[in-house]
Amino acid sequence: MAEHPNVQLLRDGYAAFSRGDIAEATKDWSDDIVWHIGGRSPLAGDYKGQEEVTGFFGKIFEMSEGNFEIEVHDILANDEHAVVLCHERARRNDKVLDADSTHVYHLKDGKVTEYWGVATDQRAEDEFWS
Amino acid sequence: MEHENVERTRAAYAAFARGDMAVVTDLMSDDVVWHVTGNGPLAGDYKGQDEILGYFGKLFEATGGSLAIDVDDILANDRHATAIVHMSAMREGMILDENAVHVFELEDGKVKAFWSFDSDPEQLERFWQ
Repeated sequence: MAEHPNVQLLRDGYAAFSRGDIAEATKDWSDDIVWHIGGRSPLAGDYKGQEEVTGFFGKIFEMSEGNFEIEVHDILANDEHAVVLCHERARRNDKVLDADSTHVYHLKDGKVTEYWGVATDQRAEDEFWS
Repeated sequence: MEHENVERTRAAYAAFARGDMAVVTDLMSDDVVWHVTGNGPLAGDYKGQDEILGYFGKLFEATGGSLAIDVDDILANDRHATAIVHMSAMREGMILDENAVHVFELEDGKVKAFWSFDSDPEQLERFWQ
């Protein structure tokens, strides 16, 4: 069965993110994108618009000194939603993040409009980024 | 076109909602494992259909049958299905009201493993304590 085009859109986005090409990673985002970061760490909250979201990415890279990687296990998508099953690894001082996560995207007309990250262990995520 | 595992998963949620567990377990492999995450009293791994049905029974009992899963969307391919859901329930004056992502690992159209990813695990823990 043919893969939905939004699967490839997300796959390309993660590949660009992992090589640090943020311009490429954000090219399929709508202008009014909203990035929801759950939990209770200092990073939690809603980031609105491409500038705030890429600023959030910058903060993650800075806090983990570039030791942040996402291994994509699978990508599922239809016209309206995509879910990325992944594993996140990061190091920060003497703390280690090593956990499964799901990334949920809302899409409209082939553009990413919203993101939610839902972790297996939100408390471990909060502890890592606090 | 929708993947057939989308329809299978949708049918399983509909059967769960009306309490028709024979339909639900028919979609599980014999060695299915249900991973319930978090630190609540029901957290842990349930192995095989009997243990999983026992877990479902506890969910129904503890919430007096008020547990409802609203399925927002289902995405699937040959290997995985994911359901974007909203869970609500009442228990001893407490209200559960949260978003979750359910992930199913599939093989030949049967569920091998399940994981829940909860947007607000602390709310869940308070609810189930």
